Amino acid sequence: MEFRKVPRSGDGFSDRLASRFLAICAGVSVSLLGAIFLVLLVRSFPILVSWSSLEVLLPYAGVTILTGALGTFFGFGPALGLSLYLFEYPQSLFARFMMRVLHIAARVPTVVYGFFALTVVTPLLSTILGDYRLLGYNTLSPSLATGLLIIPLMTKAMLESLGRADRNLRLTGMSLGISSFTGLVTLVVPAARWGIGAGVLIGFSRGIGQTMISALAGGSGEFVSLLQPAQSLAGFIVSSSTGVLSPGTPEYSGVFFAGLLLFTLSFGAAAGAKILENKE
Amino acid sequence: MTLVLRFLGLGVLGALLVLGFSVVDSSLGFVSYEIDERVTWPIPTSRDDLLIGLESLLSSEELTQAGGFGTLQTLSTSDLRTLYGTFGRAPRIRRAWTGSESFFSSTAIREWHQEYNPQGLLEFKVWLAQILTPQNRGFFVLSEGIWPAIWGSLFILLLATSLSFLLGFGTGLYLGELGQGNRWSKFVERNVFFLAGVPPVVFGIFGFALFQGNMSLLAGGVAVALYLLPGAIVATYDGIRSVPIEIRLTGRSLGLGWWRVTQDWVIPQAWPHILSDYLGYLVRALGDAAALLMVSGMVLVNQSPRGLNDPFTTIPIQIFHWAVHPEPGFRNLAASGILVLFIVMGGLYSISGFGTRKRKKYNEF
Amino acid sequence: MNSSPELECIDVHISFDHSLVVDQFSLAFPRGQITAILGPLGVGKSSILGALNRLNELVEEYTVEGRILFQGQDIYDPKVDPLKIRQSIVTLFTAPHLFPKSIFENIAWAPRILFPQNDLEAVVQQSLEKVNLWSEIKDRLRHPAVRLSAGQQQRLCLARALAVKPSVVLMDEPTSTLDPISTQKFEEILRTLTAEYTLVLASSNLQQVGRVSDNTALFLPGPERRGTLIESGATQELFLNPQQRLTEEYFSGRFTR
Repeated sequence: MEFRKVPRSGDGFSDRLASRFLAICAGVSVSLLGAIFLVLLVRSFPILVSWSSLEVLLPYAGVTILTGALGTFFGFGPALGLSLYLFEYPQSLFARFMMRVLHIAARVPTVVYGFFALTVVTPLLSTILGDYRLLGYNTLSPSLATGLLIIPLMTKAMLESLGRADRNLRLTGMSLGISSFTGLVTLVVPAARWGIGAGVLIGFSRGIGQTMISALAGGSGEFVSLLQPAQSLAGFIVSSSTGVLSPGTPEYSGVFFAGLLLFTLSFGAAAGAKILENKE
Repeated sequence: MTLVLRFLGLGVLGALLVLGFSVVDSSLGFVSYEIDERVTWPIPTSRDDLLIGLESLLSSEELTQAGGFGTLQTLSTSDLRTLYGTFGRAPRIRRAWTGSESFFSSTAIREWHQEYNPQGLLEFKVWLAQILTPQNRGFFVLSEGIWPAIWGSLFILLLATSLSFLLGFGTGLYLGELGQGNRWSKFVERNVFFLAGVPPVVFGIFGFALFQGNMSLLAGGVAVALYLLPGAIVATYDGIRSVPIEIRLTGRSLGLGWWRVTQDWVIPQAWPHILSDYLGYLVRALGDAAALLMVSGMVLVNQSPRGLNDPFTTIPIQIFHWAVHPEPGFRNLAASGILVLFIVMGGLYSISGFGTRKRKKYNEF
Repeated sequence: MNSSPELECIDVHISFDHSLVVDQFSLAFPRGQITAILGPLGVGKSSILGALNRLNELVEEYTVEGRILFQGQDIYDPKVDPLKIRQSIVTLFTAPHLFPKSIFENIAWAPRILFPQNDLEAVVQQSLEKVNLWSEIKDRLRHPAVRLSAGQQQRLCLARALAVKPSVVLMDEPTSTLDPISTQKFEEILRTLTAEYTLVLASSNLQQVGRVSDNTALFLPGPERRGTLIESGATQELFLNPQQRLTEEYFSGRFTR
């Protein structure tokens, strides 16, 4: 007797037509990502081949990465702490309140965080550090504001990761005499370390990808120190868009290269996050 | 230990509260104006006053250029006001204070005003009122308005949706209905994840490339359409997946085909869910300035866009423009702009709340 | 009584996801009779039903060995349209799965597409009459279907299935969610339907099978928990005079696996 594998049957003409159409949609959506990359690559080609122009842009990338990394560094502690608390005591008043708050904060546009960096963080820093340093644009304020920006995102990712990792670890720990919270920290967190790492990378990716915060509070120029202004890729793009950009000029290609860098950096971080997630 | 964590959480909460407070705080306060005899402010509202004022403001060449007094009379009142604003002189702002400063240091403020600007005017201003006045269309601090940006935002969102929603819907439908576990659909899912993670500036640069630098509504539409695409996909996917399998099974068991069942039962039931989720993504796109930076440019725009090739501005871009200006008063404008943004976002968001309720009603299955 | 069965399984194996769930069996479903597939929960009754009209294909990785003939033709033949098969061999599920619309719409939806020329009102009325629901709800046709009682809902699902003019009706534990009175009403209808339809009833309820069916096939978990056909035949014969030891054990409740 024949051994037959029976395929999904959606057999009418309109079924096939519809599924073809949908598959095409999916195909187009997928190719968009590649199309963007290609366009950026092609347009930034003039800069790629000339090393000296490249040299000008790479410091901006450095500032972007620095701001992102610092922001992630600042935000990591609160995000992890919050996710631990929310995981352990999800019913408490504080937890429910914070969930609401984080939900809203996640939707606050980056311009607002940029405004915050400019009008609150910078003056605050200048007060803290003493009035002999009148702080204007600098690299520390955007980093702090970026940290605040990515806290809701990281907290959510970490919380989910803790949830997946827990299964019955805590219960097991408790039956051995360990308190629930200690069990959480010593058992679940290590079990969830990949997911938590993925959350960190997602935060980093977002931190790199934001433009408004560094554009508003970062300033311009080469990086000297944290308290001095320095231009990031975002700031560079913003300042380039002020003028008229004619094709062929280094500024024109520079913008595309900056875009390419941003794309690649955040893609890399996101891909890293995916890899870590898969290790779970 | 939990105390430490609570402390951390409170810290985050505190930072956010400070943020919110500073926004509101900057949106009102004392303003110290310089008034001199050349100031022709505020812009009159009646046509007669406008025409009289314009007559004295415009030099004879300018008047001939404008087509003579007769042509002036044919213009609409708002055009007259714009003209007046262009040629008139607004008072210069010497200094602006925030609400808390105005509250706590009012005497110090008055002293400053007496010392540095004795001829001028000290007034308590609620900036929100200014920017929400439709007639205010820019050129000076005191005639900056947000309505062109509101219209721009609206048009952009509409345009972007019409460009990418169908594509996103089709893709989401594909993933939700047809792509179960096979390698292609996993690939598509991964792609959507990465597309969602692309920094919106990049979309703007892409739009810029596509349209060769023309600062038009269409270019912006493409950029925001890309930003919204993953949203449409995920919203559709979640909506479709939320429909229980029984409906599909029942429909198929009667001998009808997959597309027929999907079109007649699955999609209608998923629709409220899809729409309310998508609205959430729209709200997110509303607040995004980055995607439109390259496309909208740093050009100061005062008109609401009329056609697909017009320059335009959106609310967050306007906020950004105001925030970068170092002159006094602009920071307050930015803060009020943020308030408007929040109001609009909140309003749109509550509409999606209705969608959620409708979804619950449909599921009394 | 016709000699060639309406529906017939010949040496059929059923596998999901590359693991065998129902061992090789052969079974005939005579026309105009009620054949019951009896067995404990989980033995594979739903899988068998799903194989009979190719509904299994929609659910997951599914393979079938052997032949399943409907009116003499192999339903898995590539030239055969599965849609037509499912229209001729309809399924009634355990829980009443209603469309979120009115009673009328539930029944009228499929016929409207399949038989565009027909008078829909007449179709709806006939279907409801066949399940003894017409007089009960004829003035409530435009009301949402969810407002009916459980027993009425299930009968509505049956009416909906009959509206597409099938030849065979597969029923998967149709009364297990119903109370005794609704169950009784339902069983009464089954008898009247044999005039026009061939019925296949999957059930774990011994008494129901004894009451209602003409033929019974007993499936029990065999090696590696695969469903295995133990014995089949006319219901009276099987119950009074079981040939297999396992059959006897099952009827007397001694079967514990």
